[in-house]
Amino acid sequence: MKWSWLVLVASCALAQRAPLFKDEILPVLEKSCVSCHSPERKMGGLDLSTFAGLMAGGASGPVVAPGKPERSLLWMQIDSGRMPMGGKMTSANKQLIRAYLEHGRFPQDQLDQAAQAREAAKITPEARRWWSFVPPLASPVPAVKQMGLVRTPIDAFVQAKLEAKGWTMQPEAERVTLMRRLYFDLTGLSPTPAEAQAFLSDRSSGAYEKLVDRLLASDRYGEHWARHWLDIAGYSDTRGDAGDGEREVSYKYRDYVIRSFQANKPIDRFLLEQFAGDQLVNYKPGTAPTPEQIEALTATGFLRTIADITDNQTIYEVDKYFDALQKTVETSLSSVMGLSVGCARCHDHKFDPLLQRDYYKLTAVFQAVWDPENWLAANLGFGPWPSRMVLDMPQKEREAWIADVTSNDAKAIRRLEDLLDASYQRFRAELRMGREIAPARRLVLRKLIEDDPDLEIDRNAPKDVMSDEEMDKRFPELKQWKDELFEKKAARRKKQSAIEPNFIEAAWDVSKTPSPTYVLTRGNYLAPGMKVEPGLPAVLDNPAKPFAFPDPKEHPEWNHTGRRLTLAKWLVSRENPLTARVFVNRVWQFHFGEGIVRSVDDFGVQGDKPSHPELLDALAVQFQEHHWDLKWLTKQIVMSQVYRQGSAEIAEPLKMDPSNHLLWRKAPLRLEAETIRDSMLLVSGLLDSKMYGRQEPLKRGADGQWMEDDEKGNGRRRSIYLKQSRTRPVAFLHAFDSPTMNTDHETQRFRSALPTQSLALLNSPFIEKVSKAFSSQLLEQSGGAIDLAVERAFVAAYSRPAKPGEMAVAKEFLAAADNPREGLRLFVQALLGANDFLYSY
Amino acid sequence: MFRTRREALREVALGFGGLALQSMLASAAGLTPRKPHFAPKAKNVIFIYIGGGPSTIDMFDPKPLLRKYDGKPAPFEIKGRALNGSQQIMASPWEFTRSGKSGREISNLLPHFQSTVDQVTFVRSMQTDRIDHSTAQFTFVTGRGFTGFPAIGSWVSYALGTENQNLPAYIALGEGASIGTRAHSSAWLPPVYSGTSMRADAKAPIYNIKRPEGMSSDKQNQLIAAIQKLNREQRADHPLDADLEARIANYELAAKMQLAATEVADLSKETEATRQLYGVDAPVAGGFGKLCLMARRLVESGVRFVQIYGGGGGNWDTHTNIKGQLPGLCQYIDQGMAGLLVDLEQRGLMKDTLVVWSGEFGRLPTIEANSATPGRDHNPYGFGMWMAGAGVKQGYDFGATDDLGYAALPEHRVGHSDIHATIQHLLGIDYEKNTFPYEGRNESLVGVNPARVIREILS
Repeated sequence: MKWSWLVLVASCALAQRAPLFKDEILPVLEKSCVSCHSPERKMGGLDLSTFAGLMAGGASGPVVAPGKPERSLLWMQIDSGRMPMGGKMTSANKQLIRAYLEHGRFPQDQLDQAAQAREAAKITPEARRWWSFVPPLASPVPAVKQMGLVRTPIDAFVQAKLEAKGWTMQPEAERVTLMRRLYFDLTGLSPTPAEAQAFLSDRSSGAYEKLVDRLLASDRYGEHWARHWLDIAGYSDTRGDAGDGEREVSYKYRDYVIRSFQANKPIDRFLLEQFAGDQLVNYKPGTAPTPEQIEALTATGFLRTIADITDNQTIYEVDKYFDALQKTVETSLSSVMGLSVGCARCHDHKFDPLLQRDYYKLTAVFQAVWDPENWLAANLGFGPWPSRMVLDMPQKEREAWIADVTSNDAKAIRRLEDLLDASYQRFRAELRMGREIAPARRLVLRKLIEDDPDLEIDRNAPKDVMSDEEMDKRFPELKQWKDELFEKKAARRKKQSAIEPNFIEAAWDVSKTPSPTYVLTRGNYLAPGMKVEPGLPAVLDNPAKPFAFPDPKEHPEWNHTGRRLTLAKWLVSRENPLTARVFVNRVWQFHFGEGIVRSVDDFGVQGDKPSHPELLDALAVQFQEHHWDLKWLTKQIVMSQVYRQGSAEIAEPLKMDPSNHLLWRKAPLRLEAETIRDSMLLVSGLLDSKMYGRQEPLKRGADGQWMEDDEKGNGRRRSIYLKQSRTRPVAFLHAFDSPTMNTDHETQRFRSALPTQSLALLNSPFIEKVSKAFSSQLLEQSGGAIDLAVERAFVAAYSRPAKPGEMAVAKEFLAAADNPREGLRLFVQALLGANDFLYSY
Repeated sequence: MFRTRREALREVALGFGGLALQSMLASAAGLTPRKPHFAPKAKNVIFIYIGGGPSTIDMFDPKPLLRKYDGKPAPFEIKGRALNGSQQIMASPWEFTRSGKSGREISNLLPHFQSTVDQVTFVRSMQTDRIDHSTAQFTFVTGRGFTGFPAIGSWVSYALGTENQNLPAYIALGEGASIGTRAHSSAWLPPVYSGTSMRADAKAPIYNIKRPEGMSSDKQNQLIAAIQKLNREQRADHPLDADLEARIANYELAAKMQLAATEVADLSKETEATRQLYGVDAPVAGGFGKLCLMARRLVESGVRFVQIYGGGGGNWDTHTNIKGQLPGLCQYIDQGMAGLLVDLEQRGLMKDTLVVWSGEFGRLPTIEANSATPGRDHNPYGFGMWMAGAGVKQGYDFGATDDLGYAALPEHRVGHSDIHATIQHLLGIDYEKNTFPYEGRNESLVGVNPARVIREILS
């Protein structure tokens, strides 16, 4: 006991003055640290044998935060006992180090210089020469032997590599196969029998190109390609907070994406709008947007897709703010830059020449949108006005509406709504346990809910055990609370004119002077290090003339910082070596299942090298020259022989290049979840092709699965219009790997083959619904003749007549059925569950 | 060299991981049993997860000193949340009974648990750095305080695969995590490692397991046969395509899964004695008892990881009226979890099965103010959890909180990552080597959090 007293006395004395590095600190470091952190061994990149070494820090960044021992890595490691590794440091020495960090002299410029020197050393000329950091250059189209197979320059690049191996591309696929492939890839739907017939009977030489043009112009094209982009953007209709609340107006961004693809908006413009639409149109926060501002603001929904777990708690939110900010930076930038910037959140990137400081320079660009010191509530339910919603209403109505929703009256009603929802849930929990819930207990339960300071309400809680109506009958209290709420609502409605608010969930700069951005030691917001200004990653910047972000003070006319617009313009400029390559590569992947760079999100050192680098560059350059025209690019791809070739298994390349790097065939691909579901609706005649608008609601099926709600909504629409939930996905789609965006975005779908998919194809309510509709439609079209109906079924499902073997299966199956209609229904279900329906060959 | 995500994707999509074509049928689900890194102590895990923050000082971690300060201010500052915090100590309103040979004191709210306590190792010095439910739950189950990371059961099934190909490797029973299904999601690990929600309902235990109305088993067999014949016809052009082959295998697996899942959820097959042991038919305890009995049936069938949520009995988040609420909540879980321990032991399953019980945090020794019927606020600084079964000491106590049950004593302080490391260690998994390439990083359950295997509790 006695010695600890002494330490205390000693440390009290120490607290008054700064220990000297050479005389007091260095001996301690030499005793406990330098055996590993020596100039020779330099473990963790750290040399603690000199003052300069201490200042320079190590692989995890600086180890000293002047004046702040608890934020200095040096102290954190010692204090937690992690260091000295395998040894112990006396309490007295610990206190000495602590006092030194607290009172010692650490010139800031020396710290910054040390850090920058360390950084400069990492950005070597060699690092700058990494293939993807050098702007793409179009190289001449290579010569090939078999010119007969070359339809477009793309083909020459691919064929040249094949010929080097002694291989060649395959002849064109059968017309039916090619047609289906094109339909799936451009529209996400199989062709109707009439469409198939029209193409197959058109024997003119331009028939295929005509089909390409027609599909590129169709509404279905916009929907299907929007789905791809929504994957990349991480789009979801739920927020990802504790109860996974609904994002009521997220669909406006989804519709914006569909419209943009539909209209073939140049991709550079498309990216500019999404990263900085608000700045493009100089939107002034708090004002009613002009009609031309609305589209640009809607586009910025791109920056609001992230799972946001800030909720209605008023404390312990700060790290969640930082998380949302950082995830937005990481997701949006990795979408276009193909670099895993997230790796630099806590330390310099281990493999790529990305510095931790780069990460925070990029974070600074977005700081004014998700400003942790000036936070905007996610929506009305989560706090006071203002929120992230732009109110698209005339000024006078706006004011009235804001006054209304911020009134105590409105708050009281929201509270009553919460209490009522929670009451049903709570009562159900009791019922589930087989309790009676006596009248006195009902009031007790209600009181508990009222007293709960962090009441969490699950708006999608299962309505099992008993329906609401039955509960109202059994527990008059519930009914009474419900009636009270309705009365209050009615009274309020009477009082005010019926103003229907019109929202856009958008991103904009909360102020022109956002809070400063710091390099966060180990990504910890409680350990801010060096302050940084917006800037580009060093490896992509010009060291002689660093890229400059404008000073908004010099632009009094701006309502924003200009940071995102500046970054976005750089992203789509010729100086940026990545954006066009990454985008072209993604488009390629959506046609072939794999990119030219297979690691579509990683063009860095850890990623795959391009299989056809000259092809990738040629496409990237031409894409930019064609003003980022996606339909042009798509047409280049689908007109090529590479795309049009067959998918046959050829012994030698199959053995030597089984995963088809060299594109010796078009590899068969399982269709994406939405394409499977939408095509099933189409062939069964159920598809409703209505476009745009609010998400279609879901319900829980009998076995608990989430599915279309045909009563409250329209479950016959394309999958993109169904509610996309992070925690309650449509079970049929989810079985086939539709993303839930629990990871921030999903740029490459799984194409799994699991027994749960077979179960969905055998037993799901959806397959039952479509096979019933499909068979009755066939019967109707065939005037009740089963044989004819079966023939038509093949044509509808596969765009071709049955093969003899398949017809034999059909005949045998139907012969064994006791009821021919039922037999037909089951047989069409078999057709939909077989591989020719699920694959694009 | 790391595998790239794409390679891993492909491997798992096809599910063969380099296996010869012949063994494809068995491995088509991507869950072939894989060798652990070293000899395991346990083969399966049942993880009872009590979301909401159970008050462990009122359940199995008594603090007699609270009596002395009952109703008085705490002798040192208790940092709660700013909401309704107070410094007023509340002693546990319930009596504790010295139980079993190990003589540990267990609250009288848990009479069944009292009789099985000798099987259990208590970890009494847990701490977490999160104080609100969602982040603490994410942390406890996925190792990170945010959404988007795989749950522990996903990591385990990714590492080890599973014995029974006719059932999912990772099954979640019941409800009660406020983060919903994300508490058993595989996030960016391949979908096959996601926890499958299952219910104690033999008629429809898993989505799409139940045949539609009017579909007899014979009819369904004919349907499957027809699909398989069509598939074989259609494969003529691509005879070597493994994906197409897998899909054929999957229909057979699906048929088997239908039988297996229905069978395992059919608790009527159990003897009356067993049903009583779990309290399956008891009014309050029945719901949880069914889940526990299901869990036993699942591990018996070779399921690798079963996660049971303890939230069906109401809200463990007892901010108010803890006196009124906790008895019912305890009654809900007591018989089921105790029955599980007894039953596993009797059937010799305990030697292969690890049972883990925990919430995301505990509750403070003080009351929350401003209520006539007070409760306790969240306590992330010190709380208890327990483990039992394969590889774990029996009747052992690890660590402690201070005498008021407020904060874990520093020398034995452990957290979620230590638990994750320990569970994986018991399963023969090196927690540092069980990694998956994601966004350029080699991610693991523990990640960069400091972690250690709690060797003191290993048998």
